[in-house]
Amino acid sequence: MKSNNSKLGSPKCVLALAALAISSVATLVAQPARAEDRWLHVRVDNQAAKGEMVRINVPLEVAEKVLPTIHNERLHNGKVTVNEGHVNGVDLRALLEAVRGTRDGEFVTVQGNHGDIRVVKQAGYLLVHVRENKNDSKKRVEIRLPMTVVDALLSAGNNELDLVAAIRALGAQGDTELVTVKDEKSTVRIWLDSKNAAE
Amino acid sequence: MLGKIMFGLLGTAALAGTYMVHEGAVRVSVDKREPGGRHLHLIVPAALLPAGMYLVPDQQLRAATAGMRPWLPAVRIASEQLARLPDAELVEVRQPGQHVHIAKRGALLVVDVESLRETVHISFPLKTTSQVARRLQELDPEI
Repeated sequence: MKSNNSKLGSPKCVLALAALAISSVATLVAQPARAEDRWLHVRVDNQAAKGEMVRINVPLEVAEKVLPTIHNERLHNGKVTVNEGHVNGVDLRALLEAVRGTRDGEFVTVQGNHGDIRVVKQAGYLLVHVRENKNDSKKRVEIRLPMTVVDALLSAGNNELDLVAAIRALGAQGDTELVTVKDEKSTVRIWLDSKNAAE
Repeated sequence: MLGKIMFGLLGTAALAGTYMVHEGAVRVSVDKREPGGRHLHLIVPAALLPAGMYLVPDQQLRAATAGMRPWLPAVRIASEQLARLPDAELVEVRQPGQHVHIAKRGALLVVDVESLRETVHISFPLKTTSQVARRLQELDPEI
């Protein structure tokens, strides 16, 4: 009995236990983000309307499970039908397909009297920057979409976007800002993290 | 003999009480702010709701819930999934004269609405929502 205790207390044993503890922690840290602990947050602040504010916190896991059960107009089985692939005259699917198949770089830059639009693919992200200078408005829109999410969206086939697959892909992402809209009166933020409350 | 009957009754009451506490309660509270406004405070043992639904004829239940039928699977699954999550603030909307707050607290979904006209508080066990949705789905297996 005495010899067993002395073995447990030996430097080798302590070292082995420490290595085991460190490797366990390292394994936990190294685990990829899972949909079940990811939250999508939406925050709208409107200074003009006497502090009007909206906070929505959606667990991705719930969205992933609930979306396929909703069958309403264009939404079926977690997929949204895009009529003839066009949204406001833009063939969304063709646009995303084109971006997906190309290398990093700037794709679209439109500079006009009323503002600028830039679409960039960079380091695995599709970045959209819109700056509006119309009627004294200084609206800024920043969209940051992981390409894995774009791939997942397009995985449904023709005329459909797979929202559930996109949510699953989002769940595998780390904390990230997705959308920011700012003007003089209001701010909109959509982001992803592991906190179950908005900041 | 009387002692045995009393013991049986007390035991049954204790068991029923324990079951009620375990299943939780549905709380509805409405306070109108206007002069002479009504106040409604209701606490119903959650276990009674799914059980009570079996007392309503299927046809009437089907007719009364026709509008919500397409959403029943979503309600059921959302309730089941939310029940597994830690406490969280789900929705908060603040406007001049109105504040809406929806949160998950323990096993309950809590809805608070405060406006210039009234204050409403509703809380109910997510498990009950899931059971009610499941029962309504049973009426229409095609859902």
